[in-house]
Amino acid sequence: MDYNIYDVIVVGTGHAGIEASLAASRMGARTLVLTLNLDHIGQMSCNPAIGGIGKGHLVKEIDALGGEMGRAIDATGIQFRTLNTKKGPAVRASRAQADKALYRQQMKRVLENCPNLTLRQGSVERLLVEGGEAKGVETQIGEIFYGRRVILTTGTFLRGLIHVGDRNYSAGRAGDFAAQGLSDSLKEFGFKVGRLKTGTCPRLDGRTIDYSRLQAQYGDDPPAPFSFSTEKISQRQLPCHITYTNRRTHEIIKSAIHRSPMYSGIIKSRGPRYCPSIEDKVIRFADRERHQIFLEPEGCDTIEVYPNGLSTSLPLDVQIEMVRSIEGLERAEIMRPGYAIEYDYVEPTQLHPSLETKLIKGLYHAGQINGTTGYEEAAAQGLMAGINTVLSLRREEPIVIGRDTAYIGVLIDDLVTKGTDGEPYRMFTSRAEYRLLLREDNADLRLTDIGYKVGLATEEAYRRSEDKKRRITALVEALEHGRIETAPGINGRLESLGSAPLRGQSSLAQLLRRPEISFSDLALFAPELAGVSTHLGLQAEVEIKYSGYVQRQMEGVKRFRKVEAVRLPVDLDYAVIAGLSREVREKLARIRPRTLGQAARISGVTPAAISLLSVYLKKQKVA
Amino acid sequence: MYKEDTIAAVATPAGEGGVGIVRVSGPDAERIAKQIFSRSGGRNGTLRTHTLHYGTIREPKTGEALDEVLLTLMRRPRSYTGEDVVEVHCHGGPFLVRRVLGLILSCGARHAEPGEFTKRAFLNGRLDLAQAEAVLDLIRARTDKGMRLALGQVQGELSKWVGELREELLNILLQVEAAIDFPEEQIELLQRDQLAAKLEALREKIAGLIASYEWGRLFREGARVCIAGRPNVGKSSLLNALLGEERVIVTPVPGTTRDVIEESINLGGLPVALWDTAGICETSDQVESIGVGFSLRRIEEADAALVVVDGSSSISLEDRSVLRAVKGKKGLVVINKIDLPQKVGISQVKEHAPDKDTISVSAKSGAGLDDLRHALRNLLLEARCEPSIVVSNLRHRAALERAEKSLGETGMALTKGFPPEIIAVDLQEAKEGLEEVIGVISSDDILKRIFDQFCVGK
Repeated sequence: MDYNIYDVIVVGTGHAGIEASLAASRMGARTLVLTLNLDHIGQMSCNPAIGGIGKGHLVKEIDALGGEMGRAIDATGIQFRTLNTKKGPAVRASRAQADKALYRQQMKRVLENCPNLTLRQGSVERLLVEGGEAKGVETQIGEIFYGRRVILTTGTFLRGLIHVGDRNYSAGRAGDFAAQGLSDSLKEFGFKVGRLKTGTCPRLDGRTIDYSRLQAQYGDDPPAPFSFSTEKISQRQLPCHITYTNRRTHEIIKSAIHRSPMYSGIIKSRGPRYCPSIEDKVIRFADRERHQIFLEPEGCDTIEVYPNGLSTSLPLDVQIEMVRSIEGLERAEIMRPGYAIEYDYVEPTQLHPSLETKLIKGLYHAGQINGTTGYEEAAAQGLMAGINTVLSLRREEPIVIGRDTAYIGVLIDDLVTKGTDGEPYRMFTSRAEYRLLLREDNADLRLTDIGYKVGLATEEAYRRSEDKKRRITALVEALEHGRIETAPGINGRLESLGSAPLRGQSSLAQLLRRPEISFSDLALFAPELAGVSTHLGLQAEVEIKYSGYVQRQMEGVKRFRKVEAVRLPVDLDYAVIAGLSREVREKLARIRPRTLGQAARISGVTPAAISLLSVYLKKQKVA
Repeated sequence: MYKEDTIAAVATPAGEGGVGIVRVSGPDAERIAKQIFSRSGGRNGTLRTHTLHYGTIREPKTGEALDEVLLTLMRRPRSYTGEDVVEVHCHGGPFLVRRVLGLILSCGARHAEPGEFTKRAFLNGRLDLAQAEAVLDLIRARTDKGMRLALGQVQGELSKWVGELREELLNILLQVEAAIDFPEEQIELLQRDQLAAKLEALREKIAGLIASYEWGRLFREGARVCIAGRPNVGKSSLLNALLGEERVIVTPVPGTTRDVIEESINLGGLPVALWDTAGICETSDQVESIGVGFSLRRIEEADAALVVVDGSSSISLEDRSVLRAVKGKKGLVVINKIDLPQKVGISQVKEHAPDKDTISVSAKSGAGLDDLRHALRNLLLEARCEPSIVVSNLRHRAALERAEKSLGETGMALTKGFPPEIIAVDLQEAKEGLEEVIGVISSDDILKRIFDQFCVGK
């Protein structure tokens, strides 16, 4: 028996690699994890924060399934905030500043202590494939590892090229080597490899920032944790600060724009429009007088500060001048320059929804290699790839989470069905059709049983979520039945909430249906509700207040599931289906959708083509 | 259900014509063509696609020549249906055309159902849904104007206009979505009242489209106008006068018209079916009372009623009961027989039918008939000028009604202060309603728009 044969080999220890390797090893697979640098496990290459709108949702889902990200940020976060609190519960989202160094240490510790997991430093240069199946990997120094499944989570490292002004050099990110050979190896196997661009901000010396004139932004008190299993945040909390660019900043950028590699034509690949460089913002939105900059501490034990909003690849002298034109940063020192980075990615439409590649059996891709951006998006894919490699080793069906069940489902379905459209893919809540149902607050109710069944989520987590389901049902019932009479004082309290007086009897639920009344207000009328956790209260509030809308989305889900239940055979010969246009035929043959619903989501596949397809399937069934 | 067999039908209107075309569509079209068609000059081999070939149609078994024809083969997918299509251009004459069709059917084609070519064109992605439905309307269109409305839609006028409304909606939706996904960005979004105003303007435009359905329906299906009145006031004479020829038996004996007589006239492009009904009066005659009951029902079914009264005799109890019967119904009162000494004044009629306009005519001399035609047309079209776009399909109207309802609900949700993700549900449904008309499904549009319009992202 060769001691070097692993069940699963994970290449990379970024946010995708961590979740992939932990999931695989926790599910019992002998897992090898290869990283370019053992000191950079869980490195946050860009901003030191986890979560955000759509992204916080992903973290909660990862947590519900039994992933690590939520617990890690809870242990190392230095500022927690809930975003969108003025909006409805569905789009409220958590975000936290991380202590970068602590986060890395935390993740390294977890990996090191995970049973079944072997951690090694090495640069994978070549994929070993035999008979169309992944067999292992070979490193830069010729070391060979055999594995039954291989997961690539290469981030921005494939032929990474850093740009600052007109200078560029090869790197996976500032301070790390790039992986040079692997993407050629993938191309040789027939993968379509593309190129994307992203960028990051310069890092400032916090001692040279004049905070006295800047507005401080504190986190929520008490901070709300990400993980459903975290009781309390015990890290010391720090504020961020807000400043703004000004006309002079914009002048400096405009007059030096020809020296930006994005504008001089040195960089040809596209970057994300929702994460534009400061030069992009100034040029594209020339009428804006200022842009907001958040000064985020990179940790408790460091002086480095991340000026969120100042992503740039301008030459260093322009970066210095630009930074110093900003209020509070007049004497700021740049410790690390901002830069743009170009890297290879592998077009994700070449993946099955399990994240296994269609070309090579046993090979899985997760994270930025699939053209996504963001730690959370990467972690979500890593987790699913980890789960599905082990399921495939067990010869079980992969877990494919539906768009109606989780943002993870939306993410992966978008990737494998539509691809990235030449721009790094980031999650937004508007990508989800059933947004009212996919909330942070019910991620555990949606996903814990899935995580529990595959052996990732703990027994305790499973019980907790089942118990929560029961308690919500009971609470909603109690609110529907709980009567309040017109008693003296009641209408006064309503008035203080800006709500109309009661006429006759009413149920608590009826009160809650009033737009201006929230669950927490109900305690004014029913003191026994004061003890109910806000978490539960929120669920009841959504169910009652927006019941009509929730109902409509649930009906949408029913229709969605109907077409999603129509499976398309993997070996379906689209050439024999008469009437399909050549374009549609090619697309279907390339993507090989698993279901009729997925086929309909491929861009360019017309409703007429879908009716042809469904007629064809029905005919086949009859025959 | 779409079956992949080969269908055939005569594609030109029935009756004598210069040319009669038989169309064949499906996998066997080319085989059948080769079986029955021989090119002049005895050339064999494959037929070039999209080319007119000259030759003879022969009965394959007997070799009997039926007709000299031009034949085209259009190989898929570049054909109307997206399948292999063969068209045989015969010399006109219904008999010959039918024989050619019969021959083709005997070679294994099936007679097409109404609209089946278009259905296949749709299923093969050659037409979008709105276009396909317009083609079917075109086939059924009754007058030239109805034809023009249908043609407009084939050319995508409706799709284009609904597409513009969708654009407007997307621009509103992007405001809402941007507020949700980018709360920390300093982007200037519309306030609730501004949003509400924009939505209301959009809703009104959709409501206008919905209203145009009625207009379009009248042109396509024709309006139904019921001529009512007590016996012997000259209903049939009026009908004949409007028709311009004697069609209905006119006798001085009251109650001659026991059955409903339907005739069609063309009112400035608007097809109108005129129903001449049995005179309404209290009657003991059993046969006649059946006719009367039938008349009352017909009045209900009609789009409008013309109540005829005899100007030469004073308003009777029977006249009054007829006027009562049409109360609240769209209609005109026609004072007939103005060629005779008059005993009825307009003011008298108004007393009994205050909601109706009055026109004086003589069915006998033709006086006042043009006024009547004009007034009736205006009444039917509610004096609306021709809408530039007409919705002529029930499915489209239903989808637009859903969109309109959703926009109405968005307005409510806005005033209730509901959060943006709730507003977005309504807007999304409105968007889907519009997209159902034009058949587009797109998802990434909103994000693309947000990125183009706003400076988002840190």
